[in-house]
Amino acid sequence: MHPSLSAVRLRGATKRFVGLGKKEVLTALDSIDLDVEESSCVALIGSNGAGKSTLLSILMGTLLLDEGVLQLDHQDVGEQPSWKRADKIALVRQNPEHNVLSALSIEENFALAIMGRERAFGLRRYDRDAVRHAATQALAKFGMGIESRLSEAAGTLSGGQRQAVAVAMAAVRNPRLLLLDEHVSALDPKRAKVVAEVTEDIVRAQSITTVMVTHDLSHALKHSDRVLMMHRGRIVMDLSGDEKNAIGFTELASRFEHLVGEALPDRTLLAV
Amino acid sequence: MIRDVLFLGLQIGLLYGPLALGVYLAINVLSLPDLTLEGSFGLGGAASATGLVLGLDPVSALLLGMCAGALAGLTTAILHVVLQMNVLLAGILMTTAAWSVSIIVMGTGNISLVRAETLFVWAEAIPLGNQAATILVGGVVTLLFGLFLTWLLGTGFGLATRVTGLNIQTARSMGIRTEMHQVIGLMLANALAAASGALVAQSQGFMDVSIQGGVIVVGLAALTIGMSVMRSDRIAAGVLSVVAGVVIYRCIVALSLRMGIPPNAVKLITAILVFAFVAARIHGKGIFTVTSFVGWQARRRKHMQFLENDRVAPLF
Repeated sequence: MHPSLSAVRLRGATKRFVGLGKKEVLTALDSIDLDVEESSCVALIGSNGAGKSTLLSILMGTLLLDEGVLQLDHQDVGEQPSWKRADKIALVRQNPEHNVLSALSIEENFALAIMGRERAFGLRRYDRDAVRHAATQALAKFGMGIESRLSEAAGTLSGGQRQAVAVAMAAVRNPRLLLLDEHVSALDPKRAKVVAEVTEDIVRAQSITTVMVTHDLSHALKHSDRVLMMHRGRIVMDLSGDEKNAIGFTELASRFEHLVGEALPDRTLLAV
Repeated sequence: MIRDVLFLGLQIGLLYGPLALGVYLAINVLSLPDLTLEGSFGLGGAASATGLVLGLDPVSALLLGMCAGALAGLTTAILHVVLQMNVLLAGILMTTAAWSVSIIVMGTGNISLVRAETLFVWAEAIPLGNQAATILVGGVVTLLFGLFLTWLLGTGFGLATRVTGLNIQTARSMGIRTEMHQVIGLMLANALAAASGALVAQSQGFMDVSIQGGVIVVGLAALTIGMSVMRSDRIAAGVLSVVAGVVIYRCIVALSLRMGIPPNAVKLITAILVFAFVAARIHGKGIFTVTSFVGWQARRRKHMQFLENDRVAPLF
């Protein structure tokens, strides 16, 4: 990979958590080196406690690195708080409650996304027509009819609809880097499929660099350009290009089991 | 008599209007249980009264009081944001300190404003009677601050403040600098409480440090009554309801005094009133009615669910 095309760069990234007794230390990220190519979509897989979510939190800035360097577009951002990174990075969490503010209207949620893009929360009212226009365009792609309910409180939406709103808000922000933390895993299979597919369409159309955490191996293979497997804070497998295209779900699953040393959860196997 | 009670409620209630707005901003919008508001009320009265005695005009004296309140709010916000202290604890400490600071500001426990020109002396010169003058001044000041707060919370800045009070993690990942909104919000809320203190001192013609005692409960009463009267997520409705709440509260107090309840029992009435409104808010009409076995069972299940979801929040 050409180094100038790297949108995200981690060098020696280490994060430790100190346990209650202050003696046991859990190393969630163990000196990770990683480059993510611009406009690519990277899937992050691994068993529970592998460090996937810690890695996303480090990228977003809700957790700070103990050691190492984090660069975004060749700028050091490792010391920046999350609110300063919000014009460059958008995060869609697993729990819909944490992505969309249910007490505000859908329109106000989109107004926040648009103001967050410029980090300009000034002493002016937001431009209602512009917000509604952007929201309608972004929501129409999901075909759920949410675009006709902009004035309603976001709390009236179902979980799947809220995740759709969250992805649409991220699309409106048009970030340099989009982080997806199992964003469809709480939805029913049908809705999950719609949200996942529209998300990929948006990401491809807007060429957004994406890092997504998923437990679904076939989803990871199908929707990404590169699959990274994490185990105990390290990246133990890195598949891309022909190597990734050649590998099937069964082989990936058996490699996963071999590296992790434990059987895959039934849910993952049944998802094929 | 109803007319009397209504006017009495307006007369005293509107003086507490800015305090109610401050309580709304801190507790409802920012979700910060800031007890400093009580200390700021006294501090605002003290600074404003001292300003009047030193020859300031009433409006400047009011603004001086508000600055004192804003400083108290800033201190609490710094205790919370920088020293990571629980807001409840910081507020208790600040209110205790504010008592002494008020006495230091005034140089004594109470000062008379009989010779000073106040906002109310101006209004009486229109000419208006004492009660009409008080309603006019309290009404105008509350209206101005109410409009200001409604406007502010409708702007991008205000929307960010509201989000800070809803979910800090989500707010920050949206690009909102939450600690700044907490600091500015607490300063503004305490400045509003101080404005009420200044109004009360100017209207009664003297300032006594004891006026701050228990005023936070007046604000809480306004908030609970207001929220029960009007249920809406809209900002204008929230601001209107909390002002209505404080007037209704003072009407109820005036009515109970008219009915012969001794003045010493006013605090008890206030507490019972707040209990009743909170209970009605949580349980609906259900708690006051006798229901069938099925209804009792449903209520018991609801209560069990509450116990399952109960959480403890450490104070330190």
